[in-house]
Amino acid sequence: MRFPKTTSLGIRTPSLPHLSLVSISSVASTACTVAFWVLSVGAVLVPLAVVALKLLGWSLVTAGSGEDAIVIPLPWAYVLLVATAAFAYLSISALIFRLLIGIVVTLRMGDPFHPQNVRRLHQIAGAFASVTLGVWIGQFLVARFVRGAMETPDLFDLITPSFAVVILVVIAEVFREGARLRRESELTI
Amino acid sequence: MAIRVQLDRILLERRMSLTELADRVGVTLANLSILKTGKARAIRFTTLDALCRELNCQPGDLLTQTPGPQDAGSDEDLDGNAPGTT
Repeated sequence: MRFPKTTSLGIRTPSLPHLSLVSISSVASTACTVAFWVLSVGAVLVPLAVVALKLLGWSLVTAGSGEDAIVIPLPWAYVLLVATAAFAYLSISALIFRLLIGIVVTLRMGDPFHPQNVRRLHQIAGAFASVTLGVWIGQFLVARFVRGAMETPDLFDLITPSFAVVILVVIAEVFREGARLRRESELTI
Repeated sequence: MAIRVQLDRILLERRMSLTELADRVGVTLANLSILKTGKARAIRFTTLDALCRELNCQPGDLLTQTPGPQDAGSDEDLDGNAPGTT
């Protein structure tokens, strides 16, 4: 298949220092592993914190400071809602990094177009979309039902994450084609 | 695939085993099995040349074209599932 030639824009970019694939994938692997464990531990700590609050019998909170401070009962419905939202956010983010680790492992093995990477990229796109949408809906509900807590989020806030999801889906299709070419290459004797 | 590799018939005629042919040609036994069972998608000229040399035959003796519909798709889908599974 021949692609049309594109004209040069005449823009010269400075040459970047060459980083070997091994060093980039090593850094990516370490970063993803650290992020995964931090998010996983955070996700585990959230329900433990709620249980600890309950066991310690913390039922009152102080709102305000100084002479204007008042003591009110701890709103458990809000606590559980916030804890559930935090747990979901941290868990899904940890899942995204877990999937990225799987992709980086295949990259370090020299087999990036493994068929499972297609599925992983689709799952990352889905997880990213659900996290973004979940956060937006959460902010919308808080702004709607808790007066003065925060401003109502704008629909335009979803545009950039939507681009990211579309880009991920396109990259997944590129990897699907790469997996097909890999298969063809394997079956070439 | 409409192209058939007649490796079975020629090996029988030459009284040669697949293992022996693999050693002579320098292709792994697994790859020769893929070729023999018709699962190969392509063959390099260098491989075809080596096969013809060792089997003392012409490419036309090894490869035949069967008229009819092409086989659909590859052995597994690109999500890594075996055929017949999801």
